[in-house]
Amino acid sequence: MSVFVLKLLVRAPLRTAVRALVLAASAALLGAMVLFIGHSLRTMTGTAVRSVPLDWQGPVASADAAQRVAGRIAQLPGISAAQPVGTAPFAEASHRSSAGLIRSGAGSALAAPPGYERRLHSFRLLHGALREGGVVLDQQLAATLQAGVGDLIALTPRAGARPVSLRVTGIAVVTAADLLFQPLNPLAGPAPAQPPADIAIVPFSTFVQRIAPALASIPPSGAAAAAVPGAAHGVSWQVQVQVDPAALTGSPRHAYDLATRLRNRVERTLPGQVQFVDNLADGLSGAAGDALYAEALYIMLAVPGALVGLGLAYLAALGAVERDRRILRLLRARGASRRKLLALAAVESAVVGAVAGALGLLASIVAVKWLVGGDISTWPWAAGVCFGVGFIGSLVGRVAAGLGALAEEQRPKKPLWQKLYLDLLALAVSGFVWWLTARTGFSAVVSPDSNPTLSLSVYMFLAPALLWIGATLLLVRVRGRLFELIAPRRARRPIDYLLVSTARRAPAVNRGLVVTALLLAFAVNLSLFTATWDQQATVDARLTVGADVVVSGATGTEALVARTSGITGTTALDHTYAYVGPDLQDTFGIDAATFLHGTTLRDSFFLGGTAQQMLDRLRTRPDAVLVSKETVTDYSLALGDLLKLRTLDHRTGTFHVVPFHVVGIVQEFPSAPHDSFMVANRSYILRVTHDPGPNVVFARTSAAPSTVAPRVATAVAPKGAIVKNIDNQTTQTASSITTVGLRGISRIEEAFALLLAAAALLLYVVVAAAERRQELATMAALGARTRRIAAFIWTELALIVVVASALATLLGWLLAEMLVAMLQHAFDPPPDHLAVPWGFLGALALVIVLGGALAALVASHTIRRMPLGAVLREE
Amino acid sequence: MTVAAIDCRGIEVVYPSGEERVRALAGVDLAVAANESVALVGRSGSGKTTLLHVLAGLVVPTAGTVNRNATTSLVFQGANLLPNFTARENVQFAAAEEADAERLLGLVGLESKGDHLPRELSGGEAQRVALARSLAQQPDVLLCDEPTGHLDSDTSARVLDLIAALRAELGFALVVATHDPSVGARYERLVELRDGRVVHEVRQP
Repeated sequence: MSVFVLKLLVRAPLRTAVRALVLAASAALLGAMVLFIGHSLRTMTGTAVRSVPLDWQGPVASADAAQRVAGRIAQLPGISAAQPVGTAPFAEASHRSSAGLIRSGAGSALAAPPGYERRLHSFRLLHGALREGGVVLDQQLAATLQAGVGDLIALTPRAGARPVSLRVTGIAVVTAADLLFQPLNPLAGPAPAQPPADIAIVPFSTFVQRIAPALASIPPSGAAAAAVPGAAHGVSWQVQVQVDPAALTGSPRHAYDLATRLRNRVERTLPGQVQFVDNLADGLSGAAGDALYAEALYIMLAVPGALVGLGLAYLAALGAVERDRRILRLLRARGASRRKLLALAAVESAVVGAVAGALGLLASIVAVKWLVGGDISTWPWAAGVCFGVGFIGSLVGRVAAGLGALAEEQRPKKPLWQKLYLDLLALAVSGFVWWLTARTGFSAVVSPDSNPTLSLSVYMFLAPALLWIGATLLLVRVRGRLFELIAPRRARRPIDYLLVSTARRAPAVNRGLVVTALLLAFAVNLSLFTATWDQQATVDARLTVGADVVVSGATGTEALVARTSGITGTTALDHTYAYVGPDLQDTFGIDAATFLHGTTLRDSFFLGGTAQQMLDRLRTRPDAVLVSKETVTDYSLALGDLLKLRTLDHRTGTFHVVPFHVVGIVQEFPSAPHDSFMVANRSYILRVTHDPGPNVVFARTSAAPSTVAPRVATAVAPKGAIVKNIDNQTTQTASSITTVGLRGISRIEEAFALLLAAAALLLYVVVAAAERRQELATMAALGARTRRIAAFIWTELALIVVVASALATLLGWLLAEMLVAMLQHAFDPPPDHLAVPWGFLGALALVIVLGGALAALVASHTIRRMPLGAVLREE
Repeated sequence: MTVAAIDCRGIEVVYPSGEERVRALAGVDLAVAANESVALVGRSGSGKTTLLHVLAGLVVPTAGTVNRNATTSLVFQGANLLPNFTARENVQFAAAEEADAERLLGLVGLESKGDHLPRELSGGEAQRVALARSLAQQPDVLLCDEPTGHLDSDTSARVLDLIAALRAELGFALVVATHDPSVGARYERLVELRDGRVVHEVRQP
């Protein structure tokens, strides 16, 4: 039987190739999606793992215990480093410089063994090294004390204790102060704390010998007492562990499970000796939520395209229906049983499906490698999908085409869905859900305020899915009656013949129209949505970073930044913290006169006035402050009210009360967190906090920020400042929509959409020419020229292109609007309107025109080469 | 000497069928004079339809020459009306003038069926429309391939009578392929084909 099937397939090479290629394209789209999701999830795992500077922190009772436990853990598999660490507050640091004795306020000390910074990444050295008997100063403390490498400083462990003299052996930037000095309660989990203003890093043994004796040890069970900065006056001994990233594979959820299992194993290996605060699991858990969201979004964007692709398989099978019938009649006449005929169909579908699956897998691998440079380690899954789609698509397409052709002949009753008006019902429900969302602000995002993790309801699928289903069924119901509107009642002139023919073949033309319109709608929707997504990701990144290039973590950098080539404007601001009642809020001291030189503000960031009005209000009152809406509501504030804030005094290291006056409400601000924050005048903030100077610089660039940022980094390197740029932000942000990159999958899907759209037109011509062989041959026999005969095909093609483009524009736009509305809370801020990717849409139009032209040529060629004698003898 | 409307010499037609090559015509000589009526008779597969297709110019012979000194038009066995056009539009498709279509439909007695689609016509009506459509091409030689093959005997007789009447009125030559000897007996010359060769040729009274 297999040989017979192979002969059948080989004898109709063009038809077999078309069926296999169309199925392969659909399989490739789904296969590429599987590969891309695998790649994307692994990338998210890698990003999440890299974004955690300290994986585990386990509180222990003593320095000895820290060393002993760290030593044992370091030997365990899956662990890349384990270090004994101590943290403790100090009362004061002082330095006798040429200008006299300079004292800092209270701060915190980190005790770490030399070489710690090479294994764990909570700080980085700018100058010098961590050496026994010495001290490394955080650059902020070094600036305050005006101390450099080689200077002698004195550290007072607690008020009244004897100062300890230490030689400065290095200057560092502490990058994970919020984790390093967080209260360690393994049962409560991570609780990043307000970082101390001044930090000193002391070698572990030096700390044990010279500083720890003056302080009590905080027992592991009492670590939570340190939750309030400055509340704990003792040493918190701990073991810090870095997990081997190679041990964390797969999706964030899988990596989370692996990391948790590894932590449990380590804790079981040392029973009763250590339990960890798991920062890594916390990061991976957040990434797992985002991954789920990304998967849902990827699937939702890709599946309609793949389903429409399978519609093409149906079209392809239609081209072979007549031939199949002839063969079936022949086989029946020769006594073949029904079972045998079914087996024959299954074997034929398996052969075509296998070829399509193999081609689809190959195409998906090439697409993912070429278009996004992704890894393809999930290829076995992709292979399963490709071969499954190939076989099922081949079989179902063939059966559906056969049944469809039979139904057209028999003129059956309306199908149940038409009698129940399911198409109109689906459209109505879709519209209602959309209206409900727009009207009530209902969000598909379950926990919009609990960033970093975005969590979505399946509700988001409902409206777009119903719109897809309703629109498809409606187009099927209409059966191309649109074409009847443009055709004359009776054909007289040649053009009448073309239009009349199209109108009377409306159901057949409609098949091409439905598939082409849905494919184009898929492409339009995808491109509009991803362009809007990318646009908002840029807006979000700008809001998160603050400006094109941002320099932070050091004072006195503005002049250096301003002199760098490619920088067109700068503004310096002071980022500090202040308490409003019990709430600690980020506070930004800005220079209202120069602020817009370095970055941009939108009117939508503020309530009750434009951005310029708010800056003017700040300028006119030195103690003016802009506060969040929550603050206004929670504290019943009105414009002009006095607001007493407790601000951090860098001179004393303590918080003290400072009066401000409320002049406006701010909702969003460059580099500000999503929750509450405040904006005040820089000069006033610097005066009341005794900050040594603005610690952040926003800069605008004339060239791509990612190219200017390295030059800025070089310029400010001596200051030890951190430089970020907007281009790199999307890869660094731990959450929000920028976590989910749609560029990769949209590239793949857009490429397939272009390919499938062109294929749909070509396929339509091939099928139409096959279905109308006798008709076209008769025309030729009646003396009609090839051009006139081909016109019957390309007129249908042109009408399909025009009507499908119009329908696709409408449907694609509606779908994109709907998706944006459903995800309104994922966008921060929400887009004002859809972004239009003219480049892609232009390419799409070009492909359609070229595809149509190519299809017209194919039609002419097919007709010219038609064996008239043979065709006219066919019954 | 009278010039033949169509003159075929040594016609051979070979076409592939699977892995084999089928010789449909093997050296056929046939000349059709103006106003002459010829019946091509023979069993199924004898080469009648292929020879008609060669005469109509639809099949290019593998060997031999065809001198066509007249216009031809072919009436197919199954009518082969264009399925998406009405009877009038089918005739009009081949006609030079719209008025021709009306006149020709009148000639075949189907004025009232002009707006009917082929699927709304009976077999005999469809064949008459096909005849009108062929006449719209104003042929000098009308080629008919089993024009009554799909019709019952009464309808067949009416169609053959109609063809005869039209021939008498319009004066075209006629070549009819048929497997029915009684149909073949209606025409001036009878040519019998077997296995792609002319095996018998006779002028009939």
